[in-house]
Amino acid sequence: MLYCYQCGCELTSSDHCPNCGADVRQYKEIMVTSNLLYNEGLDKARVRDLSGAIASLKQSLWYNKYNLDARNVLGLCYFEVGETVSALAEWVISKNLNDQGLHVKNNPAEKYLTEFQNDKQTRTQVSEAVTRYNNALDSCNAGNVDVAALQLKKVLALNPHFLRARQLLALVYIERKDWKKAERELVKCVRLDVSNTTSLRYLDEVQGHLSHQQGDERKKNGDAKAAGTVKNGVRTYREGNETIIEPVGSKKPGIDGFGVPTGLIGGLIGLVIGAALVAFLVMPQRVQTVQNEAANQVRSYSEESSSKDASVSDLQNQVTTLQSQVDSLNSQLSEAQNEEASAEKSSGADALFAAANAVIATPDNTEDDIEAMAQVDPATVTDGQSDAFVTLFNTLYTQLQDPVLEKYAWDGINLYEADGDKDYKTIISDLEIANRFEIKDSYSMTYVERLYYLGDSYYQAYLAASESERADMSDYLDKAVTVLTKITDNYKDSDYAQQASARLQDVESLKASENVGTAESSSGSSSSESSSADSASSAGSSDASSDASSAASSSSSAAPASDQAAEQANAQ
Amino acid sequence: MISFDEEIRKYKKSRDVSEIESEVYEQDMRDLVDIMLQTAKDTAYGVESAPGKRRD
Repeated sequence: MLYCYQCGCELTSSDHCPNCGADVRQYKEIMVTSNLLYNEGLDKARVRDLSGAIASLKQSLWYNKYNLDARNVLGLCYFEVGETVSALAEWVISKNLNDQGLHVKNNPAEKYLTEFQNDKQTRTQVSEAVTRYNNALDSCNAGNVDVAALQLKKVLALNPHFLRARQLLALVYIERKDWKKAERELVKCVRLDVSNTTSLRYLDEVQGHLSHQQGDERKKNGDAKAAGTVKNGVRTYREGNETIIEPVGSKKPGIDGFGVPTGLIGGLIGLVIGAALVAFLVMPQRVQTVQNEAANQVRSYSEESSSKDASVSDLQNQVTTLQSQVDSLNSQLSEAQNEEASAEKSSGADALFAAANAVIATPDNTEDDIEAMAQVDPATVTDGQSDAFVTLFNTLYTQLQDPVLEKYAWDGINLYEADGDKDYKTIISDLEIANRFEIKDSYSMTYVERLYYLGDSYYQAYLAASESERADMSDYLDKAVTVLTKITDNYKDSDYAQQASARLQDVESLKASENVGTAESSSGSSSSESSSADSASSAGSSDASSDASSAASSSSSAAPASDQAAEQANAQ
Repeated sequence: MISFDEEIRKYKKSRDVSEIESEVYEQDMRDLVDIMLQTAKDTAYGVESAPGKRRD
């Protein structure tokens, strides 16, 4: 994908930018050429023509310095021939160009740099190799080729891919006329980089010398033999540092082709005799030993297997017994849960009936009506109840929701803002009631303020409590976290966001220091703010989605009320 | 025939990893696109009135 160099707009097949109209024909040609050269470099790198690859990739970058792929591969080629610093430089530039403008995801250069930085051993080895190489070069310049050779061997032990060091070592061997060693090093160089001209030039020179040398040696051997003395049917001549004495007319076994078949036959006969000895003497005993061992093993396995069978059947019996115990306990548990649910249901219903009685007795929204209604939890009271019950609730809720909310909201706020010692438990109770009677998605103006006051009150109440009291207040800190997080997540622009964030840190620190667990509240009353705030609905009709709070009460999952009841309440 | 003295002169000292900063700064980061843009800019201004150009 190409982008205009002026305005950054995506280019089409046209020669002009569709946005700013700039002439992009030449620009496109430059990009295409850069990519072609990159492809060429990549192909060369794949066949280990690293010198060719480096040349092509450098040209590609000359056309387009932002060609990150070319730069990364160039770094890899440098790294492969032991030019570590050049490789790192390319990757650093690649990373910086990407960070500045391109923002390509998963740039490999970052991975390479991170790996190199984390690999302390390689870093140390590379650094030491460079130091020794420089010392070796100084020794060569000073004429101490032997010292240089030792240094360079150590360099190559640390970094076998260091091509320049290996070429220098080959040059040292050439200077010492050690052609075989030079050839060995140069073959390794060519294997590393097949088209490196220096390596090929040196190798050509060395192989020329070697072929010359071998020809000379052969000639020397033949001449030496001819030049030797013959006495009493025995020829004596020198070959190198050795003196050879042999009968006249004898042929070297293996060289002149004489004696080789005899040796071969002798070897074969020996093999046959050896095989026969093994087959008839050694093998039967060995077989017997192996058979005995196998029989013993079989015996011990069968004993083990029978004892395991017995234990398996015991365990199976135990499993059956335990399973029946588990089943009976499960049925007891479900009975107990059913009893608890029906108890909750009846206590919720009782609260609503008490509120209905209060309204019937004094229909003018008096204190008594409001206080009675405040004991009802709108989120859960209609769970599993009849339609008539739900209708009754909706009627009362429509009439008393606002007065309850107003009274308990202002009571809580006034108590919190009062001077002197504060009764945090009362503040918490009032604000929780107020939040239960909030209408979802249509929160009152003081909602965020009350959330903060509630969160802070949980924290302050816990702080003020004694050690023994804190045991019963273990969920206060979790509730504080839930409430304050609600402010920081959903009301970032409010006046209380910063305070909530600071208080949240205090709570987290206290929790960490006290190791207060994140116990779920098993209380049947919906006293937790998160559940009540979310579950407030137009007519107790919504699903109460809890705020992923670990302190959410189990009663927060309210069953949906009827849609008719919701519409009725809205109409009223 | 390879001359040791001549060949050894072609070998330059290697840089250590700690000198990578110098290696990066010494890189010539101009490319053909930069030259093309500079040429276009000069043409837009008019070569003789291009910034930094001295009038003879």
